[in-house]
Amino acid sequence: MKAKKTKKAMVNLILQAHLPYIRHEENEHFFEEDWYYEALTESYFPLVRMFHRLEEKNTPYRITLVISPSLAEMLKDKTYSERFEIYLKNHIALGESEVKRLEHDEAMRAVANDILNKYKTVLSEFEAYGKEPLNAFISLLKNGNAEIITSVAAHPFLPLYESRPALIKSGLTTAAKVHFITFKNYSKGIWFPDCGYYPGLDEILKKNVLESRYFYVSPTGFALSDKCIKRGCYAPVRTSSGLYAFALDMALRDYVTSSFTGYPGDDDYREFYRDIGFDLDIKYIRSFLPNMKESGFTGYKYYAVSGKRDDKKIYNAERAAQKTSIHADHFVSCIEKKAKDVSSLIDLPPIFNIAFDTELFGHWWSEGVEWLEKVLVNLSNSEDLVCATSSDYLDEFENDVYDGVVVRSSNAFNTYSYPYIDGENSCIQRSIFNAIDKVEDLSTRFKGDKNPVKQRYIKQAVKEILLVTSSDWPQLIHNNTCTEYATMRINEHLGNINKICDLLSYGKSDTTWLVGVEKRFPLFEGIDYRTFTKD
Amino acid sequence: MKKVSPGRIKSIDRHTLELLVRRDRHEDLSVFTDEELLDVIMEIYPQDVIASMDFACAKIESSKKPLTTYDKAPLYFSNTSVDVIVCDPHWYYVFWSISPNEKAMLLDKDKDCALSLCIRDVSDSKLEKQNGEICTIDVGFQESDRNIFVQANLSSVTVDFIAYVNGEKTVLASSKTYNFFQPYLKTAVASNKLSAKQKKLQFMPIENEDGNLVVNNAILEEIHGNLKGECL
Repeated sequence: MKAKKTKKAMVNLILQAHLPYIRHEENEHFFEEDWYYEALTESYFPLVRMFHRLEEKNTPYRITLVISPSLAEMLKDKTYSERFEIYLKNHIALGESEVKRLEHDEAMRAVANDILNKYKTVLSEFEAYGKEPLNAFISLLKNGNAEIITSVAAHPFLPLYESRPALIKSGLTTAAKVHFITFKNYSKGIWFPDCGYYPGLDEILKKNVLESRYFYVSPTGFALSDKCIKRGCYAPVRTSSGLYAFALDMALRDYVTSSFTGYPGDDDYREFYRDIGFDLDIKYIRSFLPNMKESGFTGYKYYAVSGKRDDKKIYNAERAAQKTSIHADHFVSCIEKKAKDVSSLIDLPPIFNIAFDTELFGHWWSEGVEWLEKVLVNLSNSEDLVCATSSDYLDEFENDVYDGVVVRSSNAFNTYSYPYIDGENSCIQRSIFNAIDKVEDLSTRFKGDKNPVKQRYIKQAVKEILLVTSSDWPQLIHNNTCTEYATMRINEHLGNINKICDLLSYGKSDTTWLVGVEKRFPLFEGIDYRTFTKD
Repeated sequence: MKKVSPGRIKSIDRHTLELLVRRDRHEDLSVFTDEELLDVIMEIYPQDVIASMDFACAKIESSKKPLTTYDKAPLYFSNTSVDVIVCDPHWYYVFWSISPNEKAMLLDKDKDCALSLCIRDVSDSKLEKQNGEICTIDVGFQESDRNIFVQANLSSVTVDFIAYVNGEKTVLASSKTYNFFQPYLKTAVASNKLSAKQKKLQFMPIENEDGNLVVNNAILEEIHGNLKGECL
């Protein structure tokens, strides 16, 4: 007998994890690689730990985790893992030194000690997971509470490449393949980077990734539709492709992410920018972070948000914990209130899709993991709400979903393509489009060619195209953060594509070079270059 | 700058010239003439390398064994083309290229040949009027991209890259067509047909407690502004 349909409103919390693929084996310590180690230490391991804690307490929860293909590749990369261990040990050494340095300052020493213990805990977990961080995420699949879905290859902002369907197709099929190889299951849904959507994108998804049932869009994709979407963003719509589009609730997300009123800005939370890496003498810090030439983040942050730069209070974990309870209660009560309102307007239990960047929790917002845990506990106790994923919703209400038209939209700043194309960074696209056309031509021309070396060249060319179209590069250029690095990467990938084209047009080979670039970017091994064609 | 002798131009083939330049430059090299490529080479390589360039090229040729016998990739990939990236429904980033052959042919026919971009709305209703032409922007042979702002609400946008040769118009290339929709919400609000229930439902996911929009979308801001004061 089929289970009775729920009458509770569903809350689908989506954590989307992605980091730029930055891997420099040739350098012993590469500054930008630290983004990944910081995310592991402060967000990924603590989140997995928190989810397991809920399971131990038999707290029912559901969560949607988006793991981008490039991040999935990083999570299983042995070079990264070896360096992560060094990173942790360095931070533990720094913490031990700090505890000693602060022996006469009880309050600050306690804060330093807490941070030190955080690094020690992560190190022991890292070892327990066989020194492969991917295993931490895989452990979540055992109990079936987390639904892990994929995104697109190296995270391109897809509307930029609407006129180049071969790239879209290749990005989607590569993502599906990486997900299957990594998690040994099919991704039931897909997260388009920054929810960048244009009409017709789902047709390509449907045709090339047969297992996907749904995708997420910005609420503007529903609100600006040419047809009335009767249940608003609180139920999915079935698009002409037969796939289901779920729209996000940005107003609920805003309680957390608003730069003016978001919870993380509370006075009692930890101040992100006040770090001993900037406060203490560089000579002292540098000895713990080899090759670091300038001041930078160390993860040791002793102050609360309170007050101006020189007038901040020392961080108090207890007070911060109290605030996470208050904010979690407030958040859930806001959803409950909204659920009551929406339920009176539509004929099905509503679903609230609320998405956050995973790195917000623990990294940008130190107490974020604790807050999320309390939200999940509150949701499990709520009489009106239940945690669910999009798949859960479709399992219950698929037959009740209306058809609908989703229009061009995204979660980018202007809800379209800005800042991925902003007037300043636009010029890079000409070379990228040119390179896409070249690779498409090669891929089509040599589709049936059996020469294994040639296949390796074209496979590498497709890999380079997927990497150069990452949304991280225009984003970094726009933000004026690591612009030189982003430009260097774009040039590197385009240069490699040109070299491959040159070699193939001469009928030449340079296997030493080929082996070098293959080793330089050891990802997307299951890539099928034959998908990068015009048809 | 030291000019390369005509003899040297003959000694280095076009493909090798591009190969040498590509080590430093990644743009579309097909738009460069042989002389321009040589000028770039003069800029990026030291004099002693340039002096031994014929030898260097010969070395590249002889040191690599052929992969196998197969059709080579084409020497030139880029053709005459025009591409559009939609920044928003009113802002298009347009970039184009013209192949050296086509450029030479056009200028040969008419040394005063002019180029332009034509923005057209190819939706059925607009096509009837002047082929859907919205605006035409003159561009130079040295230009390759433009940010174009169009105030009108367009439905199906395409951009033609046009040459005027001896007063005659030739479409060199056309972009893909990009479709936009007239939002139901806007039409319904304008005609007063939006129910109170729908007003509430459509804005709930994008409006904060203070009644402000949390998304930065001009169309929704306009509709929201018109509705403010009503029961949202």
